[in-house]
Amino acid sequence: MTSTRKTVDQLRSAVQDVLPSVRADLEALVRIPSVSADPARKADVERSAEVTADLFRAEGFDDVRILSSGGGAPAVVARRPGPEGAPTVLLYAHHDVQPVGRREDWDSEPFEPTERGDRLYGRGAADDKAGIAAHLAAIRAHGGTPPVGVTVFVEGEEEVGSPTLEAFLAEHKDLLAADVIVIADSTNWEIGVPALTTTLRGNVDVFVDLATLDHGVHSGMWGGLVPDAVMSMVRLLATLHDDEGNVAVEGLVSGPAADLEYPEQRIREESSILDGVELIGSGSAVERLWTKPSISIIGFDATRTADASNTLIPSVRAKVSLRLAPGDDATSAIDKLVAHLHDHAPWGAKVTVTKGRESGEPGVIDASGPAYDAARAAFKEAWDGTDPVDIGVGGSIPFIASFQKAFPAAAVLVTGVEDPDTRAHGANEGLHLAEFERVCLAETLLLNNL
Amino acid sequence: MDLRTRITDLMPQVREELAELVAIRSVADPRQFPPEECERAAQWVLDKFAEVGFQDAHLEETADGSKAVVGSRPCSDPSATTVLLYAHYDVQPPLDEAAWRTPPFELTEVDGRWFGRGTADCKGNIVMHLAALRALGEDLSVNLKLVVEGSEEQGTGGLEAFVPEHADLLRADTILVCDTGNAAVGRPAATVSLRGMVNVVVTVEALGSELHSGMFGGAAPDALAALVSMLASLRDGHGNTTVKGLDNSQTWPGEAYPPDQFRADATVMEGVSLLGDGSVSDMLWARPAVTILGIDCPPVVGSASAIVPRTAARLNLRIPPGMTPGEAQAALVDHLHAVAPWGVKVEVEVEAAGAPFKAAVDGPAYKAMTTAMQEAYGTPMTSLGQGGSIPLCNVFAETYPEAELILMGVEEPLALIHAPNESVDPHEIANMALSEAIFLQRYAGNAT
Repeated sequence: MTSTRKTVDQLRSAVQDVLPSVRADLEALVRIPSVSADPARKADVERSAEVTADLFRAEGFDDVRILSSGGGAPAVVARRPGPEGAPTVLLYAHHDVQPVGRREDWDSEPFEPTERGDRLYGRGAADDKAGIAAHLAAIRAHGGTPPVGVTVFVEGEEEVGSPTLEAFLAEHKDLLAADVIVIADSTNWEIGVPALTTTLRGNVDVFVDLATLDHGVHSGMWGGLVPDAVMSMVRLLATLHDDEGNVAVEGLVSGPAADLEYPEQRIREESSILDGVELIGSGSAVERLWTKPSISIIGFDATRTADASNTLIPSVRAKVSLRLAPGDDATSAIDKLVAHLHDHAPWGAKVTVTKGRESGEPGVIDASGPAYDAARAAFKEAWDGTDPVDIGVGGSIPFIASFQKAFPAAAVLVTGVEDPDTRAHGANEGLHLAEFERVCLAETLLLNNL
Repeated sequence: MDLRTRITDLMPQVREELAELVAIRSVADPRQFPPEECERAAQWVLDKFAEVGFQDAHLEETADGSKAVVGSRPCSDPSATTVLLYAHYDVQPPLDEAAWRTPPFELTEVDGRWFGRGTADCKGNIVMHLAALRALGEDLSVNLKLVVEGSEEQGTGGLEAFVPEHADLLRADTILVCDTGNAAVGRPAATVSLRGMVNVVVTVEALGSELHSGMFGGAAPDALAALVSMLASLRDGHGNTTVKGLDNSQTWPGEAYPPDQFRADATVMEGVSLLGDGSVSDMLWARPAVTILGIDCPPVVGSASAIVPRTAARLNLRIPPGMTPGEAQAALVDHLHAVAPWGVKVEVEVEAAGAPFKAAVDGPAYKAMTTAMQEAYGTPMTSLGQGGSIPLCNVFAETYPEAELILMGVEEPLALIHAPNESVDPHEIANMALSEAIFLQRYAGNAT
């Protein structure tokens, strides 16, 4: 341990040296619109897998493969064995990205990485191509030969709920076996304060189809007596929350959250809530975000207001996303949501609920042991003496449960490339570049500490 | 020979003429049917009314390019009262032709009814006018005016723009708006109430940008959830419209609309309830009704796991007579602001407003028509409402505030106007022509 200081300095300088090339590689990845939810982007998802594979081949990894299971999206597995007796670390990220949403909400081209202020903007610039870049930086800073065995695993279907991951892990268990698993797909607590994520909410979604009429009819002739599908759907969806904004589906699990203060002012800044608009729900802020369920209506197929005519709309479809608290169970929760939607259908409206593709279990991680000690030391070093905090995350990373199941003896470290203002999944997703340097350094140090 | 016998004798001619007119495919949409069809229909109407004494009958072009047949037939006494006869010669498109059991543009008799597009709406009313006038012959002491428009079904407002600009041309003491109908076959009625409407766009804003629903869901307010809760408050659990400050308890004093008939007319699915605590007629004609016409938000396909920062909905509020569009609009705007949860930003933009229409039922013309229908049918005339608006009625009422408007015609629920398999019952044409003829005689007598 007497040589640690020197090693740290060397690694700090090595990270500085590799950052420009890592940044260029990240930008090349962002330029590939690898939207896994869009069938038209299938070739782009394949290309992002190839480019990712090439990046690790260039680091001298001999064993680089593009694999998939059961028709799933292509995943990259790149392996480099460590010295005799050294542990093996699995470095996880994903190369697919969320859809862009409304193009006009972006201030620059979503797939053209653009630096403004402290950030590099672009879809996937943080979530999670920065995760790939952080792994690359750590390996590159070690000259391609870190003192541990490394298996890089970059999947291509995380943003659609990793549908074939469990099969993949089962099929390639020997290839992926590791003592420590680093999942670089979460967030730090705030700019300047690193975090390890130890609880995650689960995520399920459903499509709700509702019909009241055979075909559209004139709102003047029939309105008042004939239930239209939009009002019926609105009445149904309104039952999902109480007046305070808490989820009103019965039987879902809620639990206490860490004793961490998330000041309201900070939530306001980070979430872009407009002045005068209140936060919803009851309980502490981190409870509401990490250990209670939440429901969002994420899609609604109705006529756009500009095209709307005086017609009672006969049928309509909505997509509802339910986040589950740690301790809940995805199968039972989705059943409760489906039952709620059927039970609350107004006016005899025909309601059909179809389960969506998302089915992520919530997660609780044991955040102790030598790997955690090594990680906390590395983080503290990289953030100039600031200790990392253990946080929950409202988002789900469903595959964490899959990793825990497949490799029960491995320590799972969930680290972040994001910060609270990253806007992953939203318009103007942006990577905080100064924090990204620390992320790269922390991972470089971690590989050294293990 | 009395009027009834004369009309009975005229019915073969009525059928022949209606068949000629139905064969003209006068859909006033050049994208669907050649404009020559409407020109032929206009010329047909002009020629026929010229034959029954409208010597100055001519075509007037209106702002939407459609041509209205306009004419007059003065009687010997220039100070006599004046009645304007209205109808339209354009028709709805046939829509789903496969759903027609008979050719849409060929008058075909099935089980005593005459099928074909426009047989009831509104060509049946044109031949009704002709039959009444032929039955009366020269024996008439009212001044008559005529307007038969050519774009009623398009909603393009040709005649609505024309009327105020040519107020003197069409000025009358009574206007017979013959484009509605009876409660049922053999159950005569006047339509005395039309709902008005207010359209608004409500915009809700909660966040500056989209947020990851996992990261922030549960604490960050969702604009779409806020809008949904606001819109849900516009109806109660029974489906009554519950805009604060708008009376939703008025009742309809006239003819009842049988619920089973209504379900069939509106194609309500089996098992789906009808809304509201009132009767069908109360809910349709006497109470406000709000409808969500459209919502701006991410569609289901391509939706990301993101909290929607802002959204908008377009609403249509139908209002019964007794409410002004101004009051209704103010109540709706106030309601939306008052129920907005979580401090979300709400803006409401008013788009369109139209006043409800309520016919006067205490004037001499209405009384004369009540008597005429009673005589023609042997059963009392009842009163109906209509849920939709007929903007032309408001134009007539504003342009001729002293005039009495009577909304009537040969339609009834079995006529399936605007749908495939439109038809008319020839007895309705005969009885309504008789009612109109008796009215013209009786009203002249009353007025002088």
